[in-house]
Formats: sequence, structure tokens, C-alpha cells
Amino acid sequence: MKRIPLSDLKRIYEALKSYGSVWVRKKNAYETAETPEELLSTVSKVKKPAKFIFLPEEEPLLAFVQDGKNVTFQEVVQEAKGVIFGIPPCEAKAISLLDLNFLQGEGEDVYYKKRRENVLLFGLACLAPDSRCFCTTFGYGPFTESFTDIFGVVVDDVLLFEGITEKGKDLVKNLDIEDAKGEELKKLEAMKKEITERVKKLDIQGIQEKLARMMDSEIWDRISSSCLGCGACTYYCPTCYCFDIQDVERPNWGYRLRTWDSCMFTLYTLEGSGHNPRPELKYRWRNRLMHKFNYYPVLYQEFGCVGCGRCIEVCPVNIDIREILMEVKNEPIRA
Amino acid sequence: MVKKIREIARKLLEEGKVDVVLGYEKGTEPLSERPFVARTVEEVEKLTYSPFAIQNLATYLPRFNNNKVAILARGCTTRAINVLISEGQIERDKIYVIGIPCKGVIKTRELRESIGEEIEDVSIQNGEIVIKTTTEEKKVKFEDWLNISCKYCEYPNPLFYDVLVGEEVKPRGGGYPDVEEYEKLDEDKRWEIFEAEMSKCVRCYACRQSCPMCYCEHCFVDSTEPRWVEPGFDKTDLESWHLIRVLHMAGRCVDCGTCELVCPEGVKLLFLTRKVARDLKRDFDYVSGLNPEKPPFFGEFRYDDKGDFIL
Repeated sequence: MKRIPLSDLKRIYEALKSYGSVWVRKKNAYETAETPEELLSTVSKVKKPAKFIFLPEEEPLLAFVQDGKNVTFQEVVQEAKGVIFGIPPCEAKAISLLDLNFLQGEGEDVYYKKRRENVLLFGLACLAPDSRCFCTTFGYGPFTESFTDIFGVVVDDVLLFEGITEKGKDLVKNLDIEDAKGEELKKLEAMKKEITERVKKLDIQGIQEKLARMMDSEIWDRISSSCLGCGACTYYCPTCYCFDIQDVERPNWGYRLRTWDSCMFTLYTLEGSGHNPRPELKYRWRNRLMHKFNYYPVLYQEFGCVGCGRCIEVCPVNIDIREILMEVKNEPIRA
Repeated sequence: MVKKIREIARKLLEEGKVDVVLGYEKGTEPLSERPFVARTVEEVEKLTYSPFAIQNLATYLPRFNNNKVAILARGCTTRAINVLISEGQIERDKIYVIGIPCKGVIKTRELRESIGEEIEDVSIQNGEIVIKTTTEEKKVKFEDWLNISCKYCEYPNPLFYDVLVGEEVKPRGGGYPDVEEYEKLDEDKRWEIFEAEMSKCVRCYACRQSCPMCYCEHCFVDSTEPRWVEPGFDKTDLESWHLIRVLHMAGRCVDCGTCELVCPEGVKLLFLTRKVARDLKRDFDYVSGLNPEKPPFFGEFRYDDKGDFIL
């Protein structure tokens, strides 16, 4: 573990700059920093998660131009390169969940991959979990370093940090910075214990298996009854990644555009024939919950939720996923 | 007031007069009073009401067309019901209206976000909202955080009801000073404000989904044949989406403010919807949702209609 006084962060900033953009936490979104002071952001939860960097709201995938009878195509890859400084463990974990979907086997996504490979995650321990946080439910916590490249904790006026991945270790090595002091590490341990305990952990044991038996439960009617069917929960969710691809056409040219999509929208599963396998909100709700708490664990042995609580906050009608999970848990299963 | 609401709801459910009661319950977020569908006598105990209940409940009515429904309704809710009836979406006979004289609703999301700290408790006392955070007690003026539509509301009392809870309140009135203020700005400035607001939009469609008038099964923005609005975040598309929506609301929007209040990005929409409402009132003496028998604004043609806006 290394140490650097916060007053000396300029050194880190310069080092990070050599990788490309340096994104820092701002209230509404991650933004590129112009000065080293911006690394000291006090925002504990950025409204728009870092997913926006890897999966932008819109991205052109290819362009096409027509010239007489000839049509030429050109691949477009929107790149991102740099370091996200201060990403909290929940968002870093969320990115590891996106990786499962976008970096493996047939599903490998070149666009996502290109950005993912070129952006380092400099994580910081979350020192201020709020009332909506329930990260510890998912087997990690506000001090979990394993999903980042470099991980640090601000203890008083010093930043303690260490490299986690090879890339991260290289960066730290090149910095040539002194080691953390014994009393600082002791304080870190105490903070870790105190802050981790502050997060309200939910008991969702057995939820995956329970959901598997609830396809035709009446619970979906109840859960969806106040839902308006907007996409806010999924758009701000750091693990939701569904997208739509459409062609934007202009006279003689155009481009293929990928934009976000949401399983809460009617159009999401509407087929060309007019048939919709999820015709009502309750089916869409079922899918959203199943995807996070059944399909994802079945496929990847990981829940598709990190417990950041953003969906609770942005929902226009305050539908609370924690309550829903408890309701699922307590729902009797019909024989 | 809450006691009376529960009493009425319980009786309606017990006697089987309605299948569900559309009301509000306390949410899990600070300052949140969220829509709640009470189906049983036990669930009635959750019903509550306060100026933090921002969602216009009329939005849910078309979903319950096969049920007998009781609904908590303030002035704008009853106006929305009238528009929905006039457009053939719902039937008055199936709806039991629990009228609520309304003192206005609070911009809960904006207020919550302005505090910037964990909120532990909130109460309304003597025209002030008292917010207890982890470190201090903050007091803000109720009037300062009032939804702009409520601030100048002409119809705070339900236009009709089967039962009224509480005393009728005096309409605030006051017209559209906010719209006039906007109109006073020069064209460039107006355009700048408009573009700045629209650029915040993430296309989550919370505005559309929360709106009682947005019941179209197939929204123009989702249409691919023909494609009225392209996907993505080109400003032409974002701006077209909002402008067309606002114009589609002409004579239908009941100025409840729900669209703006629920927007996760805080996009201002009421300066547009209220301008349309003001123009309709000024130029055609039309106010939406006052009479379910009257045809919708765009469904009526009169030879003496003003035509000077047509180029």
C-alpha cells in the first residue's frame, strides 16, 4: 500500500493524464477533469453511473454512403481512453458484470471491448454509503478492491492506494511513492469495519430458486400496479445494458446507430407481426427482476444487481427494489 | 384528512362498491408519497395524503377499465378525468371520486436533490417544510418549493366528486406570469433556454408515462414507419420530441405538472405546456378538462375561430 498526501495529488493527476482522459465524479455524471483539484470530488454517488463511458447513450456503429449504384460502408468505433478516478466498488463491480455479457464468447462486443481495454478503473472506497445502499447484500462492500485496477482509500488527508491488476501495479510502480504508515493502515481497517457495517444488508438467500418457481405468480400484478412503464430505472442502472440498433437515414448517406433500450418499454419485445410476448407491464416487470435475480445467476453465478439504489431514487413513483425482493421472498408459492 | 380518506376507502371496499382504491402511500425516499393501489381493507391503512403526492392518479385510470375504481382526486385530477371521458377512454359511472381540495404540491425531487445530505425526517409546519438531515434542521418556505402550476392554479378544488374530504380552498389564480416572463426575453435567449433544457433529456420517457393524457398505445416517438423522430441524441430529435409532445397536449394538458416533477434530469417542461395553455385561454377562451361533454379542443371547428396565426 502506497501513500500520497492529498495536497500532492498533482503527481497522480499527471501520471493518469498520460493514459488519456481523467474522468472524475461530478454530481450528475463522470466528467473529464481539467485540474488536479477535481480529483478530490466529494460526490458520493454520481447520478449517471460510469456505464455511460463504456456504453454511451448513443453510438454509431457504421456509416454508409451511396454514390450512384455504389454503396460504401465504413466501420465507426467510438473510442474512450483514460482513467476513471474515484469509481466506487459498486460501479466497478457493475462493470465486471457488464464484462460477463460483452466480453465473452459469441457475445463479444468489439465496441465495448475497445473502450473497456483502454480505460483503467482507479477505485476509491465509498466513505458515505447512503440510505438506499445495500451493496453488502451481494457479497462485497464499500471497501472491496477486486473489481478495480488500482484501489485507494482517503484516510484523513492522505490517499492510500495500491495496484490490483497488472496494469494498475505498473502504474503504481512508475509513480515511485512512499509506503503507507502503520498507523494509517490501522485506521483504514477501522474505517472499513465501521463503514461496511453501516450498509443495510438484505437477506435474499434462495431468491434465485424462488423466482424460478414464480413465473405465473400473482405477485407480478401487485408489483407492477403503480409502475408507469418509463425507462428511468434501467437507464440509470449501472448493470442494465439492453440496446436497440436502428439506421438513421439521410439522402445518400446514413449511419447505423446503437442506443439504449429498456425492457420496461412496450416496444422492447414488440415483434414485426404485431405480436408482443410481453404485452403488459407485469410481464416486463417479471423480466426485469428475473434477469437480475435469476437469469444472470443461472448464466454467470452472479446477481445482476449491485445494490447501488439508483433505481429507487430515480423512479418517478419510488418503486423500491428492496421491498420487491422482500415481497418475492415472503410470497407463498402455490402448489 | 388521512383518517377520513381511510374511513371512506375502507367502507367502499367493505361494501364492495369498488374493487380498488387509487391513492397514495408513504414511500421509502425522503419527501416521497407514491401512488398506491389499495385492494383490501388491510391495505387501506397504508393510504395517506400530503403535498408530496406529486403523481396525477388519473394516469392509472385506463388500466382499471374493467374494475370499479375509487380515486383520490384534486382539481387537476378531475380535469384529467374529464378529458379522458371526452376522449372516450374511461366512463364516469365506473369511477368513484374522493375529492381532495388541494393546497398545491411540492417539487419533491428538486428539493430533495438541493439538500445534498441524507434526509432523516420531513414535516410541514406553518407554511414551512422542516427537513431534518443527519447534521442539521433546515427550514424552507412551502411557497418557494411549490410546483409552478400549483402556484397559479385556478382549479385547486375537484370539479366534481362523490365525496369531498376537507374544506374547499380558495383558488390562487394569477394567470401565467412565468410564461409572460419567458416571452419577454428576446428570441435568442428563449431559444438558448429551450435548447439547454432539452439537452438534459435522456429519453427515459418518464414525462410521457406519468402524464394522464399520454395514453396512446403507440406513441409517435416510437413510430418507425413513418419515422417522425430519429433515435439518438441529436438535438433536432430531442427538441422535436418535446415540441411535438407539447403541441399534442394542446387543449388536453390539465397543467398538473407531473411531467416536470417526475423528470429524473429535472428538465423544465412546464414553460412550454403552460405557454400553450395560456395561448388557448387568451386566443380561444378554452380551458381543458372543464367539461366532459365538450369536444376536445382540436375536435371542434367554428367559423368564428381565430385564424390570424395561420401563415
